[in-house]
Amino acid sequence: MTVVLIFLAVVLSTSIWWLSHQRLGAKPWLESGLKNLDHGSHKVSLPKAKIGLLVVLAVVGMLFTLLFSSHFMRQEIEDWRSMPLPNMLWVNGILLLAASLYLQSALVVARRQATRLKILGRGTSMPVSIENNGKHGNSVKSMLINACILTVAFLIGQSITWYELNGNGIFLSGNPSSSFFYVLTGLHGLHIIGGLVALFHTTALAGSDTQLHKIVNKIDLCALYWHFLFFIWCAMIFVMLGWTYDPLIELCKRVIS
Amino acid sequence: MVETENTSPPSVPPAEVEEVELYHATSFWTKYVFSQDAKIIAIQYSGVAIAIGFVALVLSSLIRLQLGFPEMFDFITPETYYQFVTMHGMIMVVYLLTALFLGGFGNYLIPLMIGARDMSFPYVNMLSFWIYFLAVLVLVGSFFVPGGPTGAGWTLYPPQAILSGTPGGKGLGIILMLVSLALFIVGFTMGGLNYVVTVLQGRTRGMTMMRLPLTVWGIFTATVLALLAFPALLVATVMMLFDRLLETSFFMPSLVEFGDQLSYGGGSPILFQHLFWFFGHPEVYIVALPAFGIVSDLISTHARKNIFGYRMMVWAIVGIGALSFIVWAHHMYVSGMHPYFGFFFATTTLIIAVPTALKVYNWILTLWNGNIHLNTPMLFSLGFIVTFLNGGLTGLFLGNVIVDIPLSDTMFVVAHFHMVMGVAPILVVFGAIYHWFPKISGRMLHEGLGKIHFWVTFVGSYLIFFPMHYIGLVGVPRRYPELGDAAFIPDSVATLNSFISLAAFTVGVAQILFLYNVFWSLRKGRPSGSNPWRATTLEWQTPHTPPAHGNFGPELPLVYRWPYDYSVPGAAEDFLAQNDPGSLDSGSST
Amino acid sequence: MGVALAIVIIVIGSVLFHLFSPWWWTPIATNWGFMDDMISLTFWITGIVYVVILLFVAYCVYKFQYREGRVAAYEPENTKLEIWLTVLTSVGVVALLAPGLFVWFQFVNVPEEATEVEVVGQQWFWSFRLPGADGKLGTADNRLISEDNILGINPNDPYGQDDIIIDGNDLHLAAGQPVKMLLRSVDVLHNFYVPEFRAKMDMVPGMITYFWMEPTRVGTYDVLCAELCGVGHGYMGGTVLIDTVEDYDLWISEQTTFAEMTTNTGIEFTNLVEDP
Repeated sequence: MTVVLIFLAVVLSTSIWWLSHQRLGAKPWLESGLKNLDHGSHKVSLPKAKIGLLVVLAVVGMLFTLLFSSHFMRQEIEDWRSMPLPNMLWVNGILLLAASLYLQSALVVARRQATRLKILGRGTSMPVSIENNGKHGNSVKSMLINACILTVAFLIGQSITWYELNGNGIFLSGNPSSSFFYVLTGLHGLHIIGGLVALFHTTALAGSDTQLHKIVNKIDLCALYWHFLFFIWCAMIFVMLGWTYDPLIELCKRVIS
Repeated sequence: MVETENTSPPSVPPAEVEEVELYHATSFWTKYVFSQDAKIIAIQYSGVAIAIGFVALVLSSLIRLQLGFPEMFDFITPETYYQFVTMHGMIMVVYLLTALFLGGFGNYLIPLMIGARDMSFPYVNMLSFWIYFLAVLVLVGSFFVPGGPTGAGWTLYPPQAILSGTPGGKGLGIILMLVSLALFIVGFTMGGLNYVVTVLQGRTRGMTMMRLPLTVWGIFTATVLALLAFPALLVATVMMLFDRLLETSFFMPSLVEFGDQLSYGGGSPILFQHLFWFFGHPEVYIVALPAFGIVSDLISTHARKNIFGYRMMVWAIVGIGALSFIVWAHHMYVSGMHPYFGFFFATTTLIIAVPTALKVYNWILTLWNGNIHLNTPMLFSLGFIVTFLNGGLTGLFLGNVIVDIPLSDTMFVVAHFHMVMGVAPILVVFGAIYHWFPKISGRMLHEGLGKIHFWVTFVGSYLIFFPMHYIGLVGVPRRYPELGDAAFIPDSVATLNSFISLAAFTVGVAQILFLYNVFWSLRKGRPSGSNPWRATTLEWQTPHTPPAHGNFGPELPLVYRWPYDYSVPGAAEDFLAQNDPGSLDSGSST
Repeated sequence: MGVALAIVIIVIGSVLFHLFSPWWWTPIATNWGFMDDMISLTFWITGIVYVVILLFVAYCVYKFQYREGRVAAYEPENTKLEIWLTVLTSVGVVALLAPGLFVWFQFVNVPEEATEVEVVGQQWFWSFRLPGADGKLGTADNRLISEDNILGINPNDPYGQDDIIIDGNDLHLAAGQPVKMLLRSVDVLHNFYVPEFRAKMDMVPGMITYFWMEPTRVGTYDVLCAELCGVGHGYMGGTVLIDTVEDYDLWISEQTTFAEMTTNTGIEFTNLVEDP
């Protein structure tokens, strides 16, 4: 459970760090009135959707670290036979990374656009189509489309991996290492699919007339989610690869010596 | 229901708060069924939770029928007995208490108490309820499938949970149970997301964290715990489903069932227990913390006195919440895990007793020098103190590893956890319903009926669970449909069991009185006005009672003070509402 | 008044019930008297806290009940009092924890001279295995279980050949001789529970768990299962006898070993295995 506790410690210390800025030591009965309330401010300065997403990420992170912990605890039992990771996974990883990077650059371009409009005095509250603003809009939209395509390609790649593994006789119900492989990648895939719904929605909005700051926030959320899932994906590979000492080899060594 | 208007005009500057884009429902369906208004969702959650809770109550009566009068009822076989026990436990812990405290009270009280128009994500909030409802339907469905519901105990320990020696293990029972839990977790996560973000982001101007009523603190912290703890149950559920359906071996070691070698191999039943209790122990506090918060507000309001040591109460809630994640294995002292864990977990468990004890002290110190109205909410709060203190102290037996060894898996444990997380939180639930019913409906509940309900429930529950500890002390194991002929169990235990059963039936029947009171008062109760208890918190200051859609009329309230300004020296009234600027407002002190 | 009185009655009633309850623990039969002492200590400490706090509540309810015109005090906190209460509680907690952990240390450290006894649980009966003359148990595995080898003993392990298998009969233990109970399960979780022993532990398939004790009182005791193991859980009984050393030696000389059982291919023995 060490991995879980580390993750939990990170989440809890973040929360407690935030709480510690809420003047928890104040004596509220001595402080009536509205004074002194706007400094050390009592609200999180992020948009609520982003806080929401951060909460979701904490939950998703918890889910995966729990699985990692289970993986570690389970692999210590003697019948564990680590499975060779299919090479296709590396290609998939690059696809997901590329999608993540596309979203990041879409975010950068859209943000720059939004700032420029603000400086020009047009304000962000006016409905401005990104597309109407020349090549920036187009590039944001095309970057989003690229991210969609790459993510779908990632999912297809993962399905091919599963298909090939099945062909090679590595099934869900085989050795626990393969069970964990399918469960981990499956859950990860489900989260990607959930994210894709939001990304499709955002991409669709990027083409139509919409308020620029709204689309920026949406891209921001998608990018954050994608980075996180890429991070989880890396951690997943690390867990499945990093500790692949083979008890069989250990046993052989012992027999020889 | 009766509508009243609060006449005092808002004489304050407009709040500089980002307004929620409220969804204005137009049709009956979107207004009352697929509603996005947190108040309606709260009532839906509570209604479903209480309805399924009554199913669990009936199950507990059946359990007591068997234990009190064994071999008198042919329809209670060991199979059905275990099914009753399992479903009773699971429903009470997850589908009633968690859903009621967070989905019910959380939804109703958070936006109103922090001065928000609604939850941050109303649509997700609506989805949360409907997924919860689906989870309940799946759970109820498992009663009607061939083989019946699972009888694996609420802990669902593998391997027995998915083997043929357990009712529902090879049938649909266990599958539906796991699916229902997974749905519950998904639904709850949607709701929990809302409660957290709303508390973080939706507070009105002036409502700092240190001006939150303890109810909100309790529900907020419990939600954070739940969001972080439920994934463990989800992981366990998913892995067990795979073990059951696809013959993976996450939790299943190689084993021989009635002479048959099964195809499983190498899995770890202890791994499941770790995952389960990593969820299961925070779950205790998910139920307890909202109860702590609510009871603080009830005691303060009805004793007309500020809560004693507000800061300490907040720190204790946060501290208990954080600590609750590193005590889980005290449920596993006899599980066969490495014995050295015992040192660590016994220590953390007993450390958690300190902030918990401080909370008890602060409740009773709030009573000291108060002006105590002994009305129904106050009575239920006092009942909570008695039962919680009792259950908390017996927790010191079970948390201390060496004392747990002889007592674990006996009726002592059953008595302990019923007292501390069954009776105590349920008494708070009742107290809270008597307290907030006037706000929800505009009418008071009948006080006389309420008092009868309280005394029967409280004294009855005490008579059930206090003697039960001693049955455990004798050594009677839990989860036995009958005592058997073991020589160490004297015949008098059977007599005591019959007595306990009679007390249980009385308590069960008394709950009908409560239902009658609710339905009678909804139509005939005395109109309450907007603030019958003369309470300070924002939900009592709404312009409409029951609060209208959007809660606070055109302007959100501004918060000038903490929620416990009762009997302030020099004030005209014995309470100053949180949005009352007060005549003494100098910006520094009162 | 009535409410305060009710609380006082609850306090007095609980204390009287505790003092005069005929329901109390069974006389102990092992060296774990410390556990009983710890329960007593915990009863004393928690009992005093319970009585004091509830009487205080009753007094408050009586003294400060609502009266027209009374004004409650305004007292947000009292740091000194809170610190005192924290310290006092911590002292109480340490008083419980420190001796508890001390006894736990003894519980988890098995003395060298303890002999091993294996208990095997399966739905829904107990079997036992004693090391033979060599004093060592042979290895075992659930995957080796067959009709001829109901406990899955490794036939290639020389230590296992002289192991004594007790199937369908009572277990005997010698008084005064520390034993390490090795616990194993064939199918699901069980828990080898003899109330008079105080000590108990789950048995987990795929693992060997253990506890140790020194039987002290000669007698016959019921074995129960204390971990839910399916519909037969409540009926999974057995018997364990604590003998004097002479009786024990006599008994053990009458038992059959694993080697004898397998060479015999005993008919009675295969009959004991339930039909699949």
